[in-house]
Amino acid sequence: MSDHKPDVSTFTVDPKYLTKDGITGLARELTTKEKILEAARLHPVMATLLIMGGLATILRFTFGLGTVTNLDDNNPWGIWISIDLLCGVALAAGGFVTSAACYIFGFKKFHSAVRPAILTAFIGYALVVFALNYDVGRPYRLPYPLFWSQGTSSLLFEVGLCVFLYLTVLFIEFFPAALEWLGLKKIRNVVHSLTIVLTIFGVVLSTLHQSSLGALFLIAPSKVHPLWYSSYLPVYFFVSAICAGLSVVIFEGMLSHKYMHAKMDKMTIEEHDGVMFGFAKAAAFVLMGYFFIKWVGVAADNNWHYLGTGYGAWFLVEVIGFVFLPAVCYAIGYREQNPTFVKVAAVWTILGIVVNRLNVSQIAFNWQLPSDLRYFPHFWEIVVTAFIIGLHVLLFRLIANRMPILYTHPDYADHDEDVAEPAHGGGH
Amino acid sequence: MDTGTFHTLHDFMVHSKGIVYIIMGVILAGSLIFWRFLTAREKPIRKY
Amino acid sequence: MKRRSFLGLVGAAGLGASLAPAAAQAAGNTHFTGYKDSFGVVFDATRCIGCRKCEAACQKVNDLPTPKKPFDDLSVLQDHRRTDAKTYTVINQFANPAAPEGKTFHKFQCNHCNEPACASSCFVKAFTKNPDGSVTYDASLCVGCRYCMVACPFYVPTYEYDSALVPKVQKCTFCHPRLEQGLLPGCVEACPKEAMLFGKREEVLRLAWERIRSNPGKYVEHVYGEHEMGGTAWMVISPIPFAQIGLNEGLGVTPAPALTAGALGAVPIVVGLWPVLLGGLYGINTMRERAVKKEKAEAVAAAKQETQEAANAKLQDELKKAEAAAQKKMDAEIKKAVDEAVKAKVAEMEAAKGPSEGDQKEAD
Repeated sequence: MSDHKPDVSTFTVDPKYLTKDGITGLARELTTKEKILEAARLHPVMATLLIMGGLATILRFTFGLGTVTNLDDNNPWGIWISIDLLCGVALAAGGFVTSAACYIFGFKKFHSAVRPAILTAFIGYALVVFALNYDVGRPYRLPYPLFWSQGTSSLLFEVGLCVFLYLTVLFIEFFPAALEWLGLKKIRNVVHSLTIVLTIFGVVLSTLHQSSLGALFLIAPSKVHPLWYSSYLPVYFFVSAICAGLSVVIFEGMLSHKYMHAKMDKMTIEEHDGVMFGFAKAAAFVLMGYFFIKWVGVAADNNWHYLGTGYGAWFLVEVIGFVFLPAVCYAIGYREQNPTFVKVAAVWTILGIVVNRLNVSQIAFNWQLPSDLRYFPHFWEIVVTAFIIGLHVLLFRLIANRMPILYTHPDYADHDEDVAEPAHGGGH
Repeated sequence: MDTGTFHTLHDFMVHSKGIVYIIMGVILAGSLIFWRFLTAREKPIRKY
Repeated sequence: MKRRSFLGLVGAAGLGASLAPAAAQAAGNTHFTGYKDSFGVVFDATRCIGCRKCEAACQKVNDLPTPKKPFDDLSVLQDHRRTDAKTYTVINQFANPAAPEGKTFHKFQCNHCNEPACASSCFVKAFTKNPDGSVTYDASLCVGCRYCMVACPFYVPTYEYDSALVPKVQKCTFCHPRLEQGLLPGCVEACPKEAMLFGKREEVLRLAWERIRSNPGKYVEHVYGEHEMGGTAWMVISPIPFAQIGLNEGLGVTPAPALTAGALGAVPIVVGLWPVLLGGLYGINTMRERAVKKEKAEAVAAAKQETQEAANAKLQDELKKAEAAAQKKMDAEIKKAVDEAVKAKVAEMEAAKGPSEGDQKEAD
């Protein structure tokens, strides 16, 4: 990725896969095996983060959570849950939002955004599961709830089941890109014909686990501050996840444009502005809806008097500063067709989601405990979280630099036709 | 259903939600199969 | 689709506690009264003297590690302690000016809820509410997610944070193994002041109320745990408000499973209706797309035909014109030829009139 190739919007074979044959001296395409080996090459910039992450991993699995975290019996969940799980899943919502917009709601002009969004989501969810291995005490038992002892009364069971199924769905949705890269045309076409079914399953599963993450806290009304505890928590988590997903697609497109422009084909580049403003419009409206229903929650539980307290002020900061204002910023960006406003709003909204998830799971959680019993993340907790985010960037670049993510593979330029026609419920 | 065998709401929910989860699996598979049955004859018309 | 979930959940927010269970048991108007004849304990805070004999007994019968400070060191009572993975119960001291020694004690341990939040929240069914009233934990199932600790309103479950790969959740078991052998819980047996009233839950609850009623002014008129979070097996009666002995008075009476029932109830509805709605949307879009395509195709065909016709007409026209032109040309040629022939004939005839008339004839 350091060795950027010139713009190759009309190439037939990715120049990355061309090599000089040692014997004949002629250029030839890399073999499948060579492609895989090449993909495994590491980027040096990530080295520090990887080393620190590796160190944290060793510490975690030799000395236990007590050494690397500030968790205790009063504060069982730290930032590995708040950021890696809650924010990670919310920010990975771009996958289902984009594929639903393109394939179900019929916004065909968003097509070039689907693959990057699916890839971001797939890596996101895979890393959520990866990060959980650090947090849970016995990671080797993570399949237990699914296959061994189903605690069906638990919302965490619901979350686990849906995340597992959705990760599978995302993997299959992402699979065509890998198959195109490897040149396996036949399987690729079979998998590709499942697009609509997978998209619908993806929306169902996302609705469920995004909302269930909020519903996790319903069982603890006495621990979560009333301004954040609401019977609408599942709805809030779901709706805000849509905003997060839309914003991440914009943000990801912004970064890809800046750093991976050479990898994009003409269609991706031409559609980019349309995607950005289309998503900005959607995000503005959904954020505004989210802003309104936040007040329904306050009214439903008659929590107005809490607004005068310190927590109330912080609640206002969140709802106005991180929901209402980004919505306005998006709206201005869309009205004026101003990319800067849109990009600022995207980053702002993403920050807002992080603030919200931290509020529900940390700041408003255990609010009645004296301050010396409250939780603040340990150095190694922050390292692991940064490590996970770094891995995300690394994996995205590794894959998008090689597989047909930001461009349409020339052999499979039939995307639109394929998808508009096929699936009537599945492969046929 | 005979709820007399359950002494706690928790036991009742574990049991009933367990069945509901199985039904959900059936719903997902069933709606897919039914949709295909519903639209199977459309194919010839779809060529234009 | 969300409406149903709200019905169940609104109660959870403390609006109307009675609404939630009703919605949670939507299967019918069923009501779960718990295990009949399950055991219960009432801790009488007026009797406890803070001797820590119960703590010592607990450590002994449960084979827990010996603490650094011995159990006869009463200085620890000054700190506000909580249980941890090596301690199932602790006694804490609180100021009470009205009491003879100016202090009242509270014994902290698992309250063994009638509808345990830990069991409801556990995604591997590691917690069980037993018929004897105890809530026990099965470490062979536990994944170590610690959601039980998040869920418990009493902050009871603790965790072995120092174990890298095999951490367990730890909490009081109500001495479940001893109860099965017909023995009293270790702490109850060890108490020199009979501060813990052990028996059938219904019975000890009745006795607790009797104590409150027959000693006016001695107790707060409330049995903590009778209704809190749907009721607990371990209950407390106290001479001072419960908040003053470290108990949360704002827990509400909704049992934990009812708090999540609404959200869980919405799940199958989403599964059932989302495919219908999304399939419908997809169907509408493909239909519209097909219609647009068809219209386009028809328009193209019509345009094509028109062009074709126009071209044909033009061709015919051109042909006619060409024909006419050709005819004209032909006529002109013929005329020219005839004229020439006539001219030639005239010349010949004129020549024949001359002297060489005879030669001409031979030549013909």
